[in-house]
Amino acid sequence: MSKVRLLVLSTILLLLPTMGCSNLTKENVISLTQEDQNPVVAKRDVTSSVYTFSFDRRMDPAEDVKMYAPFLEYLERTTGYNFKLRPMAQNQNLIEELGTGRVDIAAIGTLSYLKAHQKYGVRPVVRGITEQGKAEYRALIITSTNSNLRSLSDLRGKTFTFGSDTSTQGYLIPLIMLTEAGVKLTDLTGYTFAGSHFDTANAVISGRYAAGGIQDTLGRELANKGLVRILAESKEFPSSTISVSPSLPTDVVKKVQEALLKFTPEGNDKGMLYHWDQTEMPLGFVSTDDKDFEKARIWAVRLGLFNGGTE
Amino acid sequence: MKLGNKISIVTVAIIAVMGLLTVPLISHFVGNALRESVQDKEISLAKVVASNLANPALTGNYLTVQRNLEGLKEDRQLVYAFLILPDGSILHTFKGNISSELVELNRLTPKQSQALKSFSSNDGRVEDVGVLLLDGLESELHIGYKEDYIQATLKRVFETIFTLTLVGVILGSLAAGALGKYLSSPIEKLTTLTRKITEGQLDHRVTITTKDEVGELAQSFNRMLTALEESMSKIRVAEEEQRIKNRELSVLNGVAETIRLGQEINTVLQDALVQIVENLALSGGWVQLRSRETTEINSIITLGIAEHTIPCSECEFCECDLSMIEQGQCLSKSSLHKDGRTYQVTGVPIFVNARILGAIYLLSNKELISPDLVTLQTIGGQLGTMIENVNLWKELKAREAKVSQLLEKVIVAQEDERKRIARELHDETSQSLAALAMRLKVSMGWIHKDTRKAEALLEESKDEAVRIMRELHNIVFHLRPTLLDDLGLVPALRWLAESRDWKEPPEVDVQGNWSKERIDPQLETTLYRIGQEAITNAAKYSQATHLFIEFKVEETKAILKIQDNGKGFIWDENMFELEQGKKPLGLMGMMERAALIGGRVEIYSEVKHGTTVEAVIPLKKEDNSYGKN
Repeated sequence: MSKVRLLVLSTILLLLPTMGCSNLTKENVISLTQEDQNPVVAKRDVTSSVYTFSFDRRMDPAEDVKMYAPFLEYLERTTGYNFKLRPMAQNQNLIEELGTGRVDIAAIGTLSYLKAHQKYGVRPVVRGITEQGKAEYRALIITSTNSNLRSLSDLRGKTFTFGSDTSTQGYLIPLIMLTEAGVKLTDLTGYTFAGSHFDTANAVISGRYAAGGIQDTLGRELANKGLVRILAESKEFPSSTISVSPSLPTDVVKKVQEALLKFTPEGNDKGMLYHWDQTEMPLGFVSTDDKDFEKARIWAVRLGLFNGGTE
Repeated sequence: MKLGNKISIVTVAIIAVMGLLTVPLISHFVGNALRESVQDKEISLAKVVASNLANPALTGNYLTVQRNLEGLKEDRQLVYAFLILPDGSILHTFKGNISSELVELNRLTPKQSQALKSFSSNDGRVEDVGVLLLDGLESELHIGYKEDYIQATLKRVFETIFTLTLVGVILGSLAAGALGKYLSSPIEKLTTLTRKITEGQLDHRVTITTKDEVGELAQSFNRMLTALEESMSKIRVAEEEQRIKNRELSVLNGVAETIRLGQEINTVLQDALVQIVENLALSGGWVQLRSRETTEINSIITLGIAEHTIPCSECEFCECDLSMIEQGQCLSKSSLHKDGRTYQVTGVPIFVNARILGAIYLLSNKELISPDLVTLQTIGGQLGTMIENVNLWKELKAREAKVSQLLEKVIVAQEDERKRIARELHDETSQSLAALAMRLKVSMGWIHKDTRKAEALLEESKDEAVRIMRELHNIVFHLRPTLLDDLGLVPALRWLAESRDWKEPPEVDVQGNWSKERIDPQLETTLYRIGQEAITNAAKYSQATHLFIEFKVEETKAILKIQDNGKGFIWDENMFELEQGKKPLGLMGMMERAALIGGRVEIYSEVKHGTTVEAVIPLKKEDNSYGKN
């Protein structure tokens, strides 16, 4: 009998760990909605100093965010400051945000810089080095591969698309190229601002527009893939800048500039980046100041871009 | 409790315990795996949604974002979705206002890209999945999923596992029972066999033909039993042989103890018969002894059977020789009806040196076994030897008596001889010497008176002296004739025969080849004394007219025959058994003399037909070459 007892006892002991214990503490029930009709705002951490970084839209907004997010991590790691990414909504004006200090640092093209400097005194810190190893870039005017356009002058009576109205490669330089070719906007059947370089490419490839102005890097990539044909290539203009709000302290600016000049996207920092080669600063930065933009400023003035319209 | 039941109970208990352990464990692991899988899918879905919402949200197309969020609600498992924009404003799927409690419930920390939180809501159990709209962007998408679905799935899984486990336990229990029976069955067989072995039943075998360890054990067990049985069989045979040998020794010892030389043969045989019957557990028996000269039965000793019921038989084994006896051919087997029962009668010879002295017959209820027959044959020889020894003992005693008598006779003869010599010396020689002395004295008286007369007297005295000398010579010669030494046996006997005092001297005739050779002087003297006794007896009693002496020397024996044609006498060997004083000591002396040197004396006599005494003595080779030297 003792053996049977031992067996039963062993069984109970073995089973003990498997027996669940009832939850003695009653869980709080969360109400999903509330009667109060005042808009609910999520709490934000306002205690720590965070510098806001924004950018000119270049491509798909999400892709832009993905590209700049690791870049900000680099800046945080190098400067010791905290940064947050703040993409601009379509109806938001980055120039104003940067000028008024709601955005501290921004990656903006020459045109945006010229406007922001003109209106708010925004300062350039560095310029991007393009894949040609220069701190200048060009713009391309592309057309579809089956287009019969042969020169810019053939654009008269055709449709044309720019990128963003704040874009240097998507608007300023193509506009300069059309002007130099003697083609006025009024000579065109119609033109539009597609929004980004991606949108411009889509509009041209799909044939919705006969030609479009586009970032030279992306334009060449598409041409190499046989998706578009390059109709014309611009002269060099100062490449995109990292500019800072006039309210940003000088020591911060200096530290940021140092960090940016050390940035090696093709070197040690390459692993953490996302499609950085598709930006306008694929090989890093060089320091810059306002004098580098004099020529472009002249064209901007000539074209009336500071006045909210074209010449 | 039987081993099979123990195995079954323990196995069922193990299966049950393992099953009961397995259910919660599997439920736990499956539940966790399912939950993780669902959570992974929820996170993936949330990320996909976030990716889809990123562009409209970044471009400020909040209406599109709102519609996309509401489109998610087509999923029945989804409770809500809301998007926290970088400025803290919220787009959500609720009809009313979203609660701030819900908004802050599962907020992501700065370095977090996703977060899960399960909570109880007023709409049931909900799992909130929060992901960043895009990495690096302060915008969070939260989607609430119903957990009831997971719980229901887990419940179904638990029920399935429990049912399968229960079926497994039942099937396992049945299998365990069968296993217990299967495992214990051969052991039970072996146990039963062991019990039978303990009871001494070694002829049983276990029939297990499996190829496993139990089968090997059973085969080993069977081999062990075979070996054990063979050993036991050998032991039994050895014991039986030992018992038979003991019985044989017991019989032989019993028989040997009965043998006493001083006792009568019949008494010894009676005791031996008792020992045989008792030790061999027989019903009875009898012993028959034959006469020494014929096959006639002259003595019967019985035990357990009346003499008149014994079947008549003459010397049954008289034709047997020693080799036949040794080969066991001299056995008789028959049956006998006595007192309404039938007995086996086994007869064996009593023998000594291939001479059959009689037979032993033994009654038994069944036929005697071979070792007993061998024992009986040995006893037959033993009894034969015993009988022979008793007879020899008797003869030895008789001979001792004879020697005593002869010694007495020798002493008497010596006294007689002394008396005769004294008498002859006194009566004859002494008287003659006295007369001679007187004659010489007279002669001396006359020698001066009358010379002539003196001379005549001296002449007479000389003759007297010569006669006295002859008498002395005769006396000496009769003590031991010199002729025997000088001329041999036959001339000595002839002189003896001729010089005896016969009433009518007979004609003595001598034959034989005695002149050629001489034999050993001791043998010659013995034969001379035998011849002297025979001739003296003939001279004294036979009144014979003719005496015949024959002496022959052959290769191996010498024969002396003294024959007369006198009146003879009635010869009977029983004369030697007569009382003291009447015994023919002269004849006995002759026989004893011959016997002492290995010879014999035969006496043939009939009334009026004379008497012949023939002495035969054995010769060694050197004995009969004596004369040649």
